[in-house]
Amino acid sequence: MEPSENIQVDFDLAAELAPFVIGGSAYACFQCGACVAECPTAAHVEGFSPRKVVLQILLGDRESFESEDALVWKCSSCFTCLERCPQGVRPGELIAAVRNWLVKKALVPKQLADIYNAVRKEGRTVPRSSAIDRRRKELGLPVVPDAPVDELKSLLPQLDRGKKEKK
Amino acid sequence: MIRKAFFLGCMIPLKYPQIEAAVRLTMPRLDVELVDLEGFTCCPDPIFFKSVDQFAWLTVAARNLTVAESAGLDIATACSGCTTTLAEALHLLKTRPDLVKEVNSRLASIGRSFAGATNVRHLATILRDEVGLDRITAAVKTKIDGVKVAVHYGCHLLKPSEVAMVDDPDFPELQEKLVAAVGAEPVRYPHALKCCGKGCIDRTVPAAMAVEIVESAKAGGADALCLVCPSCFDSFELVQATGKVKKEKQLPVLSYFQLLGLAMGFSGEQLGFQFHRVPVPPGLGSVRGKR
Repeated sequence: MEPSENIQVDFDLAAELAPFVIGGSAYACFQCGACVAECPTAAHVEGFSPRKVVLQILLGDRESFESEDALVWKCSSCFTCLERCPQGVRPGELIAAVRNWLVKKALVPKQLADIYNAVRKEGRTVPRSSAIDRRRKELGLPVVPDAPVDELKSLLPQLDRGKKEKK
Repeated sequence: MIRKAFFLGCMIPLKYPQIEAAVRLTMPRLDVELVDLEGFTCCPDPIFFKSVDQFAWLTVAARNLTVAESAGLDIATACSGCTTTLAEALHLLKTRPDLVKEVNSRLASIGRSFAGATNVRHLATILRDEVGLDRITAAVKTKIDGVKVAVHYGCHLLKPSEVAMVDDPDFPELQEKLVAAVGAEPVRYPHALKCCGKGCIDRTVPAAMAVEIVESAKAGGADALCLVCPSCFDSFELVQATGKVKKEKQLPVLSYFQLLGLAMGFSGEQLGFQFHRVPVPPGLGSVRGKR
């Protein structure tokens, strides 16, 4: 085998991700692919596979993750892979850890930053609207109370996105 | 009397209040008292918010749990997303002392502390386990026999299964039982357990996932889709309203609580059918849909 064909492993990536991992472990993965069979995103997005994400973590393949439109953002978080994995790897939770790590590098899709900041500023992901207020009235529902925003602001730091704005 | 803290979340009160109306109309008839507490926020959302910062997600969820703890009540939700966030946070905090320490050090800044003295269940589960199917059937006033209903489970009512503890995630029966209890006929179809696509960050994929499910349910002979998650509700309403499903293949989307309301004799107007993008046909007790 030519030296250029050797696989380069960057062990530092898994160590960098470790503080973000709440559940699951990439090291237990033996690449069986049980997680792929029923993955809805794998069925719809070419190139996406939870098995591959775990392999990329193990190999330290940073390049495959480090962008706002990386495949790792396509996972719909249905958690089917958590049910299928015979090893307790919990690929869906490792994907959440990779995403948290990317956010710390200011690589966060606008949709996510908007939701986080909406919760921080208004306490809810959906803004109030006069149209919905009218519907609530028509249905005889009470006014939605204000959320305790002061508490949330002290718990949650402001999230800023990197300069790489996408349209 | 069953008494619970009512955790509304965001999508139900602020986007689909007809689901809230259906819950508030139907639950008292089953002796379920839903208490509105002050101080709840977004659960927070188990996909996008959690993808930003899992520790912030856990902290805000724990904060919501402390609101119910202070009132001495267990939490009832009508949203699968809220259920999975709050139940998973509770599960993590009850099994991981390291996380309790981290979360409580953050909560100390607002004078709160997580103690673990509450529980979280989706109202669909409470209907089966605490109210009982017989009691639901006894509350039926209007026959809706013969209405064929395709049950869509959504992901987070059932998964992760060791947290949800609701039903077998591969062969669930909960919603079929609830549908049969009001006299409708549950229809099985190939895509019943698929993801609605709401959680995928992409321009085209979420719609493609939702279209498959609607078409699969239609091919299965259903008159309506029935679900217990406002995100799934949103996916199926939107994908049909934007013309991605041909008219002849469209299916009205109902929250289970609306179906329950119909069976209890409430009108389509009381249950907010006039706000549905896909019209609910008169056979289902509806007024004509409008935008």
